[in-house]
Amino acid sequence: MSKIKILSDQLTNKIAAGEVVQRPASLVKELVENSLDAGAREITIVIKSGGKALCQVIDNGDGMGKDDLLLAFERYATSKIATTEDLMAIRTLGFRGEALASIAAVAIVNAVSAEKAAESGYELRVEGGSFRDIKPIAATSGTNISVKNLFYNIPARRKFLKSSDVEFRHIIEIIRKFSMIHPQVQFTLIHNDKEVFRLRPEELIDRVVNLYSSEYRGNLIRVDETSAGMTLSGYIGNLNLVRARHGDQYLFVNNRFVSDRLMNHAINTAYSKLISRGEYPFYCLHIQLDPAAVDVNVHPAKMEVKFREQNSVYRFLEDSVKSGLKVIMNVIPDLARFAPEHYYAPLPVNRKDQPDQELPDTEKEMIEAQSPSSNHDFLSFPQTRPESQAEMPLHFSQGRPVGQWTERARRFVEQGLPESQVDYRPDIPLYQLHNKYIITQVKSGLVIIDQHVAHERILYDNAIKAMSEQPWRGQQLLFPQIVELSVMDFSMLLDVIPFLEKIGFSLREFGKNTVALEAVPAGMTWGNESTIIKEILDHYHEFGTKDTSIQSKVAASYSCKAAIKSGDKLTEEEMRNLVDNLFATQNPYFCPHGRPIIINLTIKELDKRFERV
Amino acid sequence: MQFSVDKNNLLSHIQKVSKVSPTRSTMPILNSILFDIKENQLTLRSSDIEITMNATLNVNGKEDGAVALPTRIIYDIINEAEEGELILSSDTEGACTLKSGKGVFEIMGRPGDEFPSLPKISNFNDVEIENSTLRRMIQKTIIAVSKDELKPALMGVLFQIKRHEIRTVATDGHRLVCLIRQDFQNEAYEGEVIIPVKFLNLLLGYLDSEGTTLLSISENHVKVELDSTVIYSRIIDEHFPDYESVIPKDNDKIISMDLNSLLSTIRRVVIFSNKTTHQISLSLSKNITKISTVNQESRTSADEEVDINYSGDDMVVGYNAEYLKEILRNVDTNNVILKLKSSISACLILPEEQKENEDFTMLLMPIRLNE
Ligand SMILES: Nc1ncnc2c1ncn2[C@@H]1O[C@H](COP(=O)(O)OP(=O)(O)OP(=O)(O)O)[C@@H](O)[C@H]1O
Ligand SMILES: [Mg+2]
Repeated sequence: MSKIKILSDQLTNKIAAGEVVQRPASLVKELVENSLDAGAREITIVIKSGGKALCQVIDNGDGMGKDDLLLAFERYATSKIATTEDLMAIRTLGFRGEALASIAAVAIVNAVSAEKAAESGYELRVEGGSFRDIKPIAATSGTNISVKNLFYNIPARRKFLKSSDVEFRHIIEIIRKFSMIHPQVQFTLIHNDKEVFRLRPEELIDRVVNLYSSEYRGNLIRVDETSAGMTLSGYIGNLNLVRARHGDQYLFVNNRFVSDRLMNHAINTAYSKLISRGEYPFYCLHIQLDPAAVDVNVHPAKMEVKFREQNSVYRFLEDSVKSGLKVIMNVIPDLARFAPEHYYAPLPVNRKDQPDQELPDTEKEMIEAQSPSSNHDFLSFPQTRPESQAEMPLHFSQGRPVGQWTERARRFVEQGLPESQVDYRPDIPLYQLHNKYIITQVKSGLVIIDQHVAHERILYDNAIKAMSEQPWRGQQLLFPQIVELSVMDFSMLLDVIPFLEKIGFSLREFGKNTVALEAVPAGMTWGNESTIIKEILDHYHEFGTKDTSIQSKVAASYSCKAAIKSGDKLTEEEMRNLVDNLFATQNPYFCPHGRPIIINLTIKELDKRFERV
Repeated sequence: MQFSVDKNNLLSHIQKVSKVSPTRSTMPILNSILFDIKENQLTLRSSDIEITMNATLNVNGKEDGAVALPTRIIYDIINEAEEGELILSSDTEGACTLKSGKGVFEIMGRPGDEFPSLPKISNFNDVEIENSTLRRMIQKTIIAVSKDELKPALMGVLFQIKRHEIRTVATDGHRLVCLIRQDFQNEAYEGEVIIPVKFLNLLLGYLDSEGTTLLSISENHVKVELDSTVIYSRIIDEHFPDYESVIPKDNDKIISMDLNSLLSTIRRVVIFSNKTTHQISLSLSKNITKISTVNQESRTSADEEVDINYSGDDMVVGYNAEYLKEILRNVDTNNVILKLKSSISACLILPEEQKENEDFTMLLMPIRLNE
């Protein structure tokens, strides 16, 4: 008896239909989804020429009998749903019964499948959507589908495929997603007859580390929350894993990778005090909830979902991530955090061992491949799984120098210090380095403080306090400063005046688009009172998003502009004052823009550097 | 170049000029002192570009010439040298040999012509001032000079010179000091210059004796000649703000009180003030003022009463205690007079009585109390 049924018209009309296959990666996605739905524990993906020549997925799942194999390539033929009710509570990745049919229409397909206890398997060949042949064949249980010459019958589409490198990168990214949500499944990827990686069943954290680098191990924060029938699990990265480019954000809903702006926004909001615009945290999070509470039938690519109770999911997500981030203080940022260009290995340019020469690798494509919207460098996959952590010196084995990476990773894991160990002592001398950094000794070694961001943090906290509690005092000026503004700036100023007054400024309207600055925050020394207002307005204009409150925008602009600059010489007393005040703030480790303020170098680390141990 | 000279004679002159040498300069030549010999006269020169100092002394000249020697090392060796005669000689490359007793010391200097020459100045206007007057005029005002490099006009003291009056004024935008002397005669010159604070500090070192000092003012420079020493300084070519218009004329709340008890009260109270704002407040009521501070962060506070002479309305004003202390220390009468108008306008601080032919005014802007 066949498991697959053709869906009724009434039901097919309800399914979000659309183009299934756009590029090799989308094809691989459909095939792997089917394997996972069939309960496979091992999945091997064989690719040739970025998938343009061949995409083959071999699994050890339940397999199909002869009838099912024939039905599988029909439109709306699925074993996964049968009724409209089923559509309301989807538990599988597939449900439309459309993928194989669409694939078969645009490529040459060969499918071999055998059910668990079956005597024999069957092989089916489909070309351009019509069956060629089905015959029994000796096969172990599972399914093996190969798709050749994608778009061979639609030259216009084939022309739009990118270079093999680019297409392959998309495939990698798809597999990366599957492998992250199924760490217990073995994934093997072979490209042009070479094994790119073999990810054996493992714990999620090991999977992430293997997919990225060992540096990640010390920088991941476990999230495990349950509330009102929802669970959230996975890992979020601390600030060392914040990157200046987008891409390492993974959100899964009931085992499905989704790109959901609202939910990603919830996570970013939880981070918002710690990171700024243009910075992206790492996360790999899995929301599990009653399938009836989430509609996956909204988009043909099955990458979007609609939550029935969107608001509560949003809050759950934000709160869970926030509480996970509480431990972030335990880890002091890495020295090289702001060098993302070191982080990703450069793209290989025109490597000769790529047999794909059908399409020229134009420069444009190379550029596109490197742009933030494209996917990750596949070279960051370990090629083979290392036997133990100790033997994992290479993140990729193209003979590229990776010393820098491992060194950073090692250094990093060691320097994560619990807050209590930064025991700043007021009797120990402070040194100013290049009029930029302050250095002092702490129990575990030494700390380096960035004077500008440190002051920024202090002023920000003061400003917030001044606006919500006791206003900051204003020092009256002997010579009021006349500030002329553009119409735009003037109206912006009117919005923020109440906040500026709370932090000690006093402004009086003085003719058209002109104000007289009569008082400035007491204790602040900056040279040019007349320009500070303009600078604050400029910064205010640029800073933050619509969601940031006026209060925190004004506070951030003020603190950024009023803070001592890098390059300002400080007296011993000023340094002392700065450091004392810094350690009195709520969060001495990160400035309002999320930049690190303090870096810790341990004696242990120094001993290692000097080869004492 | 070659000459011989008594160690102590040379040392005292080097001490003088080394005060101008910057300790670290982006122009390495400035970290040295120029030795220039012409017959029996040695000229020592130091400069930080803004200020140049020339000192001359008589020596035993053998060969004319000039060399620039590193300030630190030449000062140290001459300081440590044995008493008696020193012989210094150098070649045109700047290699210098110092002989002292049985010691021979080689110092690598620079050829003398690399050292900046004296500013070329013409058309000096000479203004003669009594040393004691000049000293007082500088000392009283220098406390209010701004350290802020973004306000160059305020980084010096304004000298306003008229036929029968001389004024010095300094302000940092929060406080102001103005001292006017009428016991001054000067027929040649009327005008005003802003003189940098570093020059005035140097000059103060020469004003202890009786007598007069000749200030020579040109378009861009000011010069003083003090015996064998000449100091040149650039003047600050900026527009000094219109200070007269901010000195209030109608402050009608007048308080007089004992200076020392006020100062010592402030010194006690300020210990408890916010370390950034140093803000304290004065609550004035009939014949008594309460001086207090509250520090929100450290949860500390202080309150102390001081007897005053006051009959006006009750009022509370806030000040930066550090500024107030500096201003009060500048007062040299037993009682001090404060004249106020409102809690957000300037307070005049005056001595109980003015010296003869003098008008000494100080002014402090309050901190708003937002109450
Ligand atoms: N690897 C596989 N192992 C076992 N059965 C499979 C496999 N691939 C496909 N099938 C069967 O073929 C059917 C059709 O697959 P297809 O991918 O076309 O549709 P679907 O997965 O049901 O829905 P969707 O179009 O959303 O992917 C599936 O319902 C499943 O029963
Ligand atoms: Mg499917």
